[in-house]
Amino acid sequence: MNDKLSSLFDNELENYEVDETLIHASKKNKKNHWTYYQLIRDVMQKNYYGSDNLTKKIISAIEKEPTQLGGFSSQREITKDKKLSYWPIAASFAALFVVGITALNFSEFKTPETAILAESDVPSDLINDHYASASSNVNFFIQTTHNK
Amino acid sequence: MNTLKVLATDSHVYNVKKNHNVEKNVMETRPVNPDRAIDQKLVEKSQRGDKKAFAMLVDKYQRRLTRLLSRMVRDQSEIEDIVQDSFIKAYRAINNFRGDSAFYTWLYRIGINTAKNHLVKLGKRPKAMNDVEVEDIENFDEAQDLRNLETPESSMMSKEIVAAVNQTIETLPDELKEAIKFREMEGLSYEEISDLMNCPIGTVRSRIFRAREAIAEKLKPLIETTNKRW
Repeated sequence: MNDKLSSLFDNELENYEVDETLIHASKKNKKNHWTYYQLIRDVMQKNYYGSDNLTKKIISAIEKEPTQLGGFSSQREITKDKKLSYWPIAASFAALFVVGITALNFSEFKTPETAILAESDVPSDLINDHYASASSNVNFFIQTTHNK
Repeated sequence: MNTLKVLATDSHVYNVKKNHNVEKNVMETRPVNPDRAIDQKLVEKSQRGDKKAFAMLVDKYQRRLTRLLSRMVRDQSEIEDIVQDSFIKAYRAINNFRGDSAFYTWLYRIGINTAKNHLVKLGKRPKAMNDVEVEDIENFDEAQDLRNLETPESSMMSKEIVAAVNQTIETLPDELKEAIKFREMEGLSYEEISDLMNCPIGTVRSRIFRAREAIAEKLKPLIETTNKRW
């Protein structure tokens, strides 16, 4: 398995092997090989200086930190799930909206037609009298309050 | 004739006919930044609570971050504190890393900000950055003089380790020595090395691995001794 770690270190590993190798590399004592590979690279590229103690101090400090969970990738999954759960609500609102618009259109178009039909059957004098004497009529209201 | 000359060892010079088709395919299939792909995997594992994966990132970038910050901060012990703080901050904020930039660019930004804050607290002015501003981080010159980062003890240790690595490389069989040198010193891909050495990629993979393991075996007792010393 360390040969795969060596290939991973060079980014020369097939994608399907990466996860398995990383899981193996994360196991106890396996990290040492990664550390040695990095050290060898730094020495060969003349970038090495004695700083292994600092690396240990940092890793030891990280070990004391609370474990970080719920990274971006999992957040992205959660967001995806949340987006999916909004769909039924959004669909319900859309259906209500369509029903509402249809009902409004129906009332807008049908009511005047029926009113016109009704008006055509009733003589205009009677309609005028009705409007004049209806309680909703402003004149009627003024007259009745005035008479009191 | 269009050839690629590569000096592998003192005695070997490889003359390889350049195959433009192969080279073109290599360019097309290889990622722009190979490090970034591995880093992203390690970051994702860290985000899922794998501290060992983050430790691998520490291994990889601790020295580079130290070198970068040594351009801002003079005191060696202060640099080490800042580097440690930077990694801890990066770990605490790892869930906020969305992969919009390379991990090391993100880490270096944290490092630079930590260094600036540290210096402001102490009422000190940062050392001149020699044009290494955050925007130039990805082009950061690795060939920094490292002597000013060494303490007497670390200097002795680093000399021992460097000597062990170099001596072990010289004792390796030629094919292993050449493969590891092509990879680490020339930065060639396995495919390029297989072209140069006229062998299958699998053989290159194996040679590089065996060379690394041989050097690591020689380093183990040395590293363990120095660990006890610390």
